[in-house]
Amino acid sequence: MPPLPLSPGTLVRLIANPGRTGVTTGRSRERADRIYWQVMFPDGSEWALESQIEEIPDTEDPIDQLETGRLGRIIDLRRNLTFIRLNGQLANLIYSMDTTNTDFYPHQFKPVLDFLNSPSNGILIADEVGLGKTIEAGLIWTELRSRFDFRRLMVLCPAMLREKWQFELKNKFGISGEILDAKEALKQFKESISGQRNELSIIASFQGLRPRRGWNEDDSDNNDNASKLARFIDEVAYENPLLDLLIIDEAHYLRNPESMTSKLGRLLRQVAENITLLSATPIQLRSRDLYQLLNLVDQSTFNEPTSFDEILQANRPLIMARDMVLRGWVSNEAEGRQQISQQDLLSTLRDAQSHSLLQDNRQLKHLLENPPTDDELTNNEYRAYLANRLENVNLLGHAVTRTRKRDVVSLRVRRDVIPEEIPLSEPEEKFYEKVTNLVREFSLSHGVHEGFLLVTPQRQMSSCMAASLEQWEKTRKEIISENAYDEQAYEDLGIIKTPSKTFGPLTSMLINEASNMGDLNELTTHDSKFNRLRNILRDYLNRNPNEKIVLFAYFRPTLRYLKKRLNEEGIESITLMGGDANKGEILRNFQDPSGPKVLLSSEVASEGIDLQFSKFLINYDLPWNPMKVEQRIGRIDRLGQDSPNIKIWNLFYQNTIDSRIYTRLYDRLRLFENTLGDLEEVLGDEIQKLTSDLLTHHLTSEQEIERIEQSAQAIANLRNREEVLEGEAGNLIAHGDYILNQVKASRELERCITGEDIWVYIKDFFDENYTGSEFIRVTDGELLFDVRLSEEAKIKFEEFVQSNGMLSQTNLASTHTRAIRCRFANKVAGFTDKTVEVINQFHPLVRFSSHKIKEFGPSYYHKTVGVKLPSSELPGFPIGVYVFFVDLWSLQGVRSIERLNFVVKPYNHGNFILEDKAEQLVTTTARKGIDWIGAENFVDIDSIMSTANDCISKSEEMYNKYVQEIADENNDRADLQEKSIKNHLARSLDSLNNVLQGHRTRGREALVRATEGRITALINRVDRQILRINDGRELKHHKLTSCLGIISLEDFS
Amino acid sequence: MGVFDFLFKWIRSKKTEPKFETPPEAKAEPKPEKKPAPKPTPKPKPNLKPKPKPKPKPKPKVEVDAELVVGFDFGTAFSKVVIRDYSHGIVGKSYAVSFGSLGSSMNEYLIPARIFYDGGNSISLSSNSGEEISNLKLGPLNHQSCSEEDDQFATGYIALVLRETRRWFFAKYGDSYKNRKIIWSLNIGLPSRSYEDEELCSKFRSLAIAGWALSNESEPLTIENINQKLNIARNFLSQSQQPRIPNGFLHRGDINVVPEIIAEVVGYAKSDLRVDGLHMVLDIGASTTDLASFIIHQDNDNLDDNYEILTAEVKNFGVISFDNAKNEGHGSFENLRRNFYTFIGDTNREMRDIRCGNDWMRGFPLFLCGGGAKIKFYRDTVKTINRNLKSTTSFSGFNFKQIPKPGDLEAHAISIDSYHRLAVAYGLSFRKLDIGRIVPKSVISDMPPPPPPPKTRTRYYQDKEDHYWGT
Repeated sequence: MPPLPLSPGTLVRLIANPGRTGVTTGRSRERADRIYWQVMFPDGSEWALESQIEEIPDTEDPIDQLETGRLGRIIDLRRNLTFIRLNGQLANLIYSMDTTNTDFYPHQFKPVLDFLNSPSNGILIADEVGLGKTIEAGLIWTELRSRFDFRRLMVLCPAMLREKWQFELKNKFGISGEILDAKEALKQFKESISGQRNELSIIASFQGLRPRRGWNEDDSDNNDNASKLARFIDEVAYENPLLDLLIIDEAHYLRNPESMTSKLGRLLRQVAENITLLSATPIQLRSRDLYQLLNLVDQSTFNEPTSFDEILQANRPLIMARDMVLRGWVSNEAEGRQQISQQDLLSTLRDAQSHSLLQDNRQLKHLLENPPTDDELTNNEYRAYLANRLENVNLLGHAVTRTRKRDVVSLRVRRDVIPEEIPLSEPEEKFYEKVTNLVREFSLSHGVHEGFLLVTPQRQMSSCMAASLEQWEKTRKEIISENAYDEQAYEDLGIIKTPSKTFGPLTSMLINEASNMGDLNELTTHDSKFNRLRNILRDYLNRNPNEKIVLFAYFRPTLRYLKKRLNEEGIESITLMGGDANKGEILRNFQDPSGPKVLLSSEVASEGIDLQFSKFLINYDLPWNPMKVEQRIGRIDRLGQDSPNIKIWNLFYQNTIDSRIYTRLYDRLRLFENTLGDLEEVLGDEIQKLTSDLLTHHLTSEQEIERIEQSAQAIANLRNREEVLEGEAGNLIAHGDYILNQVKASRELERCITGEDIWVYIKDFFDENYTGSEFIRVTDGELLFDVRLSEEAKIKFEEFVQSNGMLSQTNLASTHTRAIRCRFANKVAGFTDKTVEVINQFHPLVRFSSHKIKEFGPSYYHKTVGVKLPSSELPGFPIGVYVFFVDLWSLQGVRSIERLNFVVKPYNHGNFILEDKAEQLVTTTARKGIDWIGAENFVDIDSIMSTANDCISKSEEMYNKYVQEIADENNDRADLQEKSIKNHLARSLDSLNNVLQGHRTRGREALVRATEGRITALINRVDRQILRINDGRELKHHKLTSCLGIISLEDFS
Repeated sequence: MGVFDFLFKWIRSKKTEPKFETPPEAKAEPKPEKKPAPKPTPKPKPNLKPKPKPKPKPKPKVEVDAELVVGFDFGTAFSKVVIRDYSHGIVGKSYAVSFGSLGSSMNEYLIPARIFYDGGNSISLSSNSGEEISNLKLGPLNHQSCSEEDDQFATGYIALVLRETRRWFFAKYGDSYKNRKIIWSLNIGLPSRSYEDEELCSKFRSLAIAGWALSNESEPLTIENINQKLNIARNFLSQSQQPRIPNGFLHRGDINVVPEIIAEVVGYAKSDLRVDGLHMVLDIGASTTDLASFIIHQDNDNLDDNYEILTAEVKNFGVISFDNAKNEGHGSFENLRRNFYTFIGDTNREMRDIRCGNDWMRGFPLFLCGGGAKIKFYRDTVKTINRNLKSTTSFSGFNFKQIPKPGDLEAHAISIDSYHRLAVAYGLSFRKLDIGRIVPKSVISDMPPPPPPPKTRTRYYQDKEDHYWGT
């Protein structure tokens, strides 16, 4: 063979390893009669025999490479897949999976997937308590950061929970949130608009941010910071959003549209691109509350309470169809169970189409015009896919997600409930009676409307008699601030109320009478409840010396009293009350094995804290609202509780209202053994009525019992109804099983990016484009490197980082010449060494590389490979040689979708292997496979080519079908969005016009002009949005070969 | 280098593929006005490209020549062999040869350095009959006391091992090479000191080349035919011009000797742990300890690696001495420690003196290898030396490193602890061309000092010593 004319600068590759490409330097050497050429590869120079290299042809596609045996290696396969995953927005890849410092529970990813599918840029997460809503919200944010590089986050929550959010965000998601008040928040918003600030991670409370009433009026009284903030937000509301994601925790506090908290929520919603609401509280589905919350998520779509009912109704046949399809059979009176047929499906779908909301739905139309055959319906996989499509027909279903404890298999903790009725001692009986009568008389003379007023003293005594008396005696000389009662009321009943003016007289009365009520010493000595508690604790701690016990009481003086007395008994305890500044420290102390054994916690303090390391809970008193009890129990009955059963000890006084409520109400409804489900709304009302009745009427014990029974019955009925409604909930809220399976599959298929993937990716990129950049490994076996970028790389990188506001995230762009130690790991949190920079998929270096690579185009790596996989890595797959073909589908309509499609076919004979199984083979090979040296010698190229062509045709066929489906969905989505935004425009114009009128009448010229300006800006913006939506109707699509080749599955044992 | 950056970028841009294809007709249609009925979904245009011009007939598959390099680590007690297939590039694919039942019972990749001679004629590796002859390497290495017989036995051993090697390789991988022409070459290791001795190098080359030739034949080995081949080999190597290559022989350029201490670090030099500059290798073996120091630097023009050997010494203590000292008691320990300490100290001083100046002061990597590296006694002594040097001189300290395990080596049955035993053979499996230029000690003093490396690669960081002591 004549020698190659290898002038310097010729692009060549190794024939046997075609993924390795380099450039000749022109130097050659002769050794032993052979000529070697020096080739400059990205990672250094090498000498290669003439016969080992070839020039790279101008046009050569992967199929040609397969035919001529230019098969690459495992590393080429891996690089291809990583590149696509890192740069893409793959629809079936969950970018947040395995990157956070959280345990894996599949149900926590449901909201992520729903969110991505929701047409409303928002979602309401209405899981039951204890399933990790905080985590779910964090995962959504991580996903958004990954896909869209979002940087502006705000979390709005009750004040008590701010520290918890800060801790969780940092510890699990690597986000440094700042707790801000209104003034600081305003400052940061302004900085963000002016460009001084590129990132926001704000944690703020309802209480801190909500403006006063009249915040937007000409009132000199509204110059507080919160009102200033509210005005600012209102002003910029029609411009560009201030936030990428707004998370509102405990969103049920916003359900009253008249409250300032709710108004705050709405204001912020207007300036947030996306929203996630977290609401634990039960949803009574037809209630206004659910509507209110959904209205907050998407004002234009969920714009009337009745629109809700309509959606439910429209969905009903769709859900029936879905369930029918999933089951695979229909029930027929005459013939019992029968395989589902096309006819069955069609008739249900026609039903669905008859509803006005779905008349124009294209996806439904398409399904009706192209229904599956009876044969197709016998296939399990096909039916699962069809069920998913049915769920997508009504896109609104993705706006709410709900998981219940009973749905999460790993959360079945048994509750052992021990009721403890405590007989009153004589002094206690006398005291109780005296005070009860006093209060009743007082309430009668003042009218019965202030129910909560009456509750408080009564409840205090039920909690602890001695402490109550002590409290009244003690405060004789002090002035009780209104806030104290405010907080107590909140503690008791969870009401955020503005202070009332009637507390004063009641308190005074009680204080005055204190000395006549009883003797403190006597009460203390004969404290029957405490004696019982002491015995319980001693006993338990003797048998379980290493355990921790949680005790709840809603009355703070009780807690202080208990601490003192337990101390005297030699039992170490620690209190946790609302307003405690160092809550985190108290909890850490408690959790420490050498710390106190008992936690004495108040109601409010218990919100949002995690105590699942304890399995013994004592209710020293019992709130009358069962939801409160549920909240308490939820502290230890939650994800992460290792013990299969938990003990709940309930203490209450015998022969009092409490005992009657306990036995009649709680016990009867078995409210402790099972989780309540979410019934607070109904319960709240019912309980308030009950409380009021019991306290304000002089009832005999029998009458009390009767009245309680009434309530019990009412609640039981409500609960039944709730069950029914919950069943119908499937009508609105996506079934989830399909999604759960998707999540689990994602994990099993390891559709995630590892540290090793990122390392290979970055190294390749810098070797190719910025030679001179150094990555010196620190220890063999670890992905820890001392990195120094080349001068040119630094300049370009710095430019990129500056213009994207990422300077604070990396030291690699600095002008220092020293090396920066970096670790490649795709995790966002969990590292303790601050001197080491962690390079995960979010790191600016990765973003920079991806940005540059996108400029070059996608054909970076060698796409044709020949590889092997030990069969032990994939049990269940027959041994043999397979041909595979992977391509990347990109569709752009109203939103962008990308998808890697895998087609596999056995080399000799056999059927196609598609979807998950095909993906599993290829990705497992990329991870665990090895090189197949000389693959081309072991197979017949003609057969390979014919199988490969089959795969390609199959892929083409799948592609066309997919495009059609997405085209329909795309248009449905565009319809929804267009409708919604026009709605929004109409509504906003209305409101702005009113404002305009107002200004005109008052002759405020400047303001008139300003408002007119806002109107124009709004109209322009909406016009642009509509243009964009219409532009998106036309689905643009494109597919690109990603990789192909042969895999030999072999037994290596 | 700039031109290559440019070229790469140019190539990348050539490979750009078209971005989204909007179906051509769609653009012309004006967007309709708002109408009550929803627009019908435009049927997505199938992805039609204009019919492609007939493709040029694809190139026929080229059968690439296979270039196989055999790295032969001829040890005192055991030999090891690694074969590298160069078709995949320099760090592409290499295989550790397994000797099965002929190998050591503890480690099949080690084959004892001994043969069995029945006095008559045949020489073999297995102990069917005949006298065991071991220490095959020492004879030839020793100029004065070397006999013809020593050379013959050594050659016979090499031949037998190579036969085994080839047999194993083709049994396992023959299929991959069935249609290809194989280009062989052989590298054999030599103690670093011996490398300076040209005669010795030459002798070993002739042993190797004769051994190779014999391995190509299948007849049983006799002293006679060994001798015959040796003569041809000596003649072959001594000729000044390019001789005709006798049957079964390799081209002269394809048989090379390489200092063992360099071979040991080639793997490191080709890895991403590598830095340029001063290095020290301390190899504590069974009965000897090898200590060498050298400078690695990359030539600016031809980009080859250069190894300049500064010092190379062998002392007669090792693992066995340690065991003995344990039995003999404290005095022996002290002796051993002192000897060891002095050895390293002297060498270090020598390095400083060989015009190393600043480079020496900055400190440098020290590789601690061999079986003795695991013995705490030796490790502690090295740490002590390090500490003392740092506090009494301007020396910044050793930077302890380990030879990295290469990713491309197939050696399934070897445990992580035993990998280091293959390090020399692994290094020898690189072409001499790729290993680079080795400048022996005696030549150094005549040469000008190497220019400082262009990149700022010679920064050293002081890690905690303990970090590298591993298990």
